[in-house]
Amino acid sequence: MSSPDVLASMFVFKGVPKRSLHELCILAPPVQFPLGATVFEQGKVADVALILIEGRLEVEVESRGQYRQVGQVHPGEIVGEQALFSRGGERSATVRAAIASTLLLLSPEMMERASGNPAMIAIEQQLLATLARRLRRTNQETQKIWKEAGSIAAPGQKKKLADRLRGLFGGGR
Amino acid sequence: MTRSVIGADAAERLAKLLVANHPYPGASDEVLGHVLGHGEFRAIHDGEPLCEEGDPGDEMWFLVRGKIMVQRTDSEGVKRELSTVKTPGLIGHMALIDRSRRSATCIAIGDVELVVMDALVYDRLIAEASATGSALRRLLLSSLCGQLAQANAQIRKLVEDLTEEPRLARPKPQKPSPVKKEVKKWRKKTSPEDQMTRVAAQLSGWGSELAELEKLEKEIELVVDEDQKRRRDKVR
Repeated sequence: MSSPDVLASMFVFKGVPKRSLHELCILAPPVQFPLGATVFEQGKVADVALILIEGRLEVEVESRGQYRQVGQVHPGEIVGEQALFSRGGERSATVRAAIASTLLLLSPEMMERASGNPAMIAIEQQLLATLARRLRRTNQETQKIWKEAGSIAAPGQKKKLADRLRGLFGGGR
Repeated sequence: MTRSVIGADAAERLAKLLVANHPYPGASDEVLGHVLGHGEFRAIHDGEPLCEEGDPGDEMWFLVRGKIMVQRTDSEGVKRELSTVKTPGLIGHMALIDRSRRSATCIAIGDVELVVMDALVYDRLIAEASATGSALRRLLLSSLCGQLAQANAQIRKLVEDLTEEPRLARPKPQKPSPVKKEVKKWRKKTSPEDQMTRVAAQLSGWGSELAELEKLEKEIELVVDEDQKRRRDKVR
């Protein structure tokens, strides 16, 4: 199946004309990553976001030399969107291919060229919904956890709370 | 009925501030000025509420002039001030994006001027392929990304507070106890291989948590105690 065909079968592009999906694949040619390949690395300059077409990605956060998996990315999901809205920022997590994966890389320049393309509009609408959900979840969980932390003194319990907070980096998934 | 709209100069000034605070690909002051032109200009006075916590969200606001106090009711039912929004703040957009109820109460501090965008205009623009539609979508995306980055920074701080506080609060002993002295000696005698094992253990998480460190120290103390006991028995 060609990339526009795969895109057409995805929920995010439901109702988007095939021609627009073809145009999107020309502006952002699909890139393949083999199993285990690093897509983004924490601390490195963030210049593109990605939308996963096929496969599965793992998101890890490094803290004091220890890597913790904070989530997985499934087809149709967008990752690294901060790169599109804050130039010169750094990646807050490492993203690796959990299995062989195909993705579209979205750069600010590509977004400018694709303005008005129905496929781009679909991506932007999906991203708005995703970010709003992540923000609400992060705010609710942070408040809940911090309230619990106020009445807890034992280091062991605090460790558990800190672990739960770490799981919220990037808004959780 | 005539609709009051923001003046061209004020729209241009606000658009420039919005782009500077919420950068996005293809940003243009002019196009963002057109977005603001789709809203209605409104003035409210000191103490007047913009929205109440729990209300349905049927509009969003672009703050042109003045300040808005954001309050939320805590678990004991007391209204607490969360923050103050200043120009060029966006307010109430979350409720339009995910059709949720207002999560906070917003009240004017002094005289306030706003551009109000109702849900009908929002829904039309957010789905439009026009430059105006793109500008609104991307402005909101940039604002949400900024909010999420701030939330992440706060979480990072909370994690640091949770993991560092016990360490800072731990009292330093005036004199090292005999057992601690022995631990020190034992550590000196430890081979480089053993030391590397300890470093590896710390990198795997042992070193990052006080409880785990204390457990490790107790285990070492037990070994030392047994070692001392064996030596005493040998002398006897």
